[in-house]
Amino acid sequence: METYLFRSTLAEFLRPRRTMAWVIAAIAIALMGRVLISLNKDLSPQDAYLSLSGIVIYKLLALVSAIMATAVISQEVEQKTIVYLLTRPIPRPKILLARGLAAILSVAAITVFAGILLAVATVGGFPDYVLRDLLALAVGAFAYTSLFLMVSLLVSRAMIPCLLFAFGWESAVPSMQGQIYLLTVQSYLASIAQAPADDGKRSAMEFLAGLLGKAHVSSGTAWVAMAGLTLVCLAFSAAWFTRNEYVPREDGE
Amino acid sequence: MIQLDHVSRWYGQVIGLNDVSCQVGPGITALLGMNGAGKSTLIRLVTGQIQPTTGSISVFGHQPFANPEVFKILGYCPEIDNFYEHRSGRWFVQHLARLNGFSAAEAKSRTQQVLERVGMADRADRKIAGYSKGMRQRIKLAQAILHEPKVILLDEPLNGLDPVGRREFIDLLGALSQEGKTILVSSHILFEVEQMTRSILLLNRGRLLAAGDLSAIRELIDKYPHRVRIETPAPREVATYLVRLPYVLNVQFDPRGNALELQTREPGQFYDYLPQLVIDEGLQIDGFSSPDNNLESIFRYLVEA
Repeated sequence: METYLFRSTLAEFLRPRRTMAWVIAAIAIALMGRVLISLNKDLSPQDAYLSLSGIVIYKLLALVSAIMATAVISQEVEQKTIVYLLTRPIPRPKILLARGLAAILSVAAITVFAGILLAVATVGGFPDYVLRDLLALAVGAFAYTSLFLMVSLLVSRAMIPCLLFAFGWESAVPSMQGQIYLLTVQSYLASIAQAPADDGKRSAMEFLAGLLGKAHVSSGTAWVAMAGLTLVCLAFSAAWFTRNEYVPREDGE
Repeated sequence: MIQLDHVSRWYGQVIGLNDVSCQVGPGITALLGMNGAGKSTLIRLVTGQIQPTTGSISVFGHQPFANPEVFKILGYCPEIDNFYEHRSGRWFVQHLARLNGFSAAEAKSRTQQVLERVGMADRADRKIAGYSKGMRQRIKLAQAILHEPKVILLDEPLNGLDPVGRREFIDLLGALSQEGKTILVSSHILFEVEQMTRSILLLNRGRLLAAGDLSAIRELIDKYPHRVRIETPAPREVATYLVRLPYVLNVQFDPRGNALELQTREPGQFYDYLPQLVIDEGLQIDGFSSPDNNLESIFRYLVEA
């Protein structure tokens, strides 16, 4: 039952009509890379890849995570189809984990696909730093989606706080003084990607985007932090989902 | 067997269900009440979607909230009309069959059987977005009975069905009842509920007003005399005999001159005596009926009381 639920949810999340926009976005990012290299002869393919990966693809990761995570449960509540899911003989933690895992893999597939297209368009291959970057995207899919899934269970209209976190907190906080950057997912992903260290020369655009590539924590710490975040969020979500009521919205008496 | 023991459910400051205790056994039981009476709350409690604030509920010995054991034996047809609109009815039923634990082959076979049973086999491959209200109701019923549950809960299942569809639906519920299923049907369409069952649970403002057989409940309402309508070509002659009976309170004549209506507080005695009177006095009576021995009257009396 759980396996079928996972597979059917994955198929639903990755159905062509749903992923078409992401595929178009990935192609557009790859084309941007080509244009960037063509227009700026001083820009190396590596810099072009890392710039666009940091500025665009990691934002895409957060955006896709927010959308997919809210589709796991809260979208079912909004659509009032949750009732069919919750009256099947499947334990609630398994419902949540099966659908949550499907969302995580969907996010990873979409963002890694975008990263691959960008790498092909800019670098023309998959050197180590691209592979590390793709790995960081996959890890980011776990971390962001688990976090947003938890948020979607705790608050209604979860998309708003998720997007605020993704585009506000995650952009601004890594640039702040002190160690508050430890409270961002991006800092850890930067360490996993082992992006070049911050040389202090950042453009305004990079600053606004909270550009990836400013690794402050060790790779080992980053792996532990991301694994911990994912596990804690999923465990909390499963426990919360099991104990609380989810009835179709606007239908409660 | 569904059992509620002093169940109350609050939504913040608002009470949805107030100290309800009852049992629902095999056969069809109608859950009646006006909008906001607590019908949906009761159904959500029994289907384990929400938890009682106080009291306890059991479905064949299991508490239902988030309990997979209950969902193995329970089928639920919700009132909400929401589906995965881009999917076909067949996909929807088969998908839920898979989530019920059936293999792909078994789910496919059961889906075909249940779609035939609800009269949707020939239209099931169309997208749900294009379905009429009646077709949606049939698909909802199909997913509720596909795993042959012991308990079936239907929330306003007759809404949107045409007369033929309603008749077929009622017949199908009758057949399921004959199979020994415990069926709880929520409705506010009293006339149709009457065609389904004589067993009711009547809710009003969260409280259980009455539970049991319609006739037995009617007899308990002694505040209101029972009305009996007698069809006869000689209403005045018949009335002269009837007004002598001590338990006949009054008699009124139909303006068309072919019937009379009386009120009595002892319907049992009256019905026992009437045939004797007809034979002894040679009265011509074409038929008689009890206009208020129906759900609508009982509902009105109980709510007014």
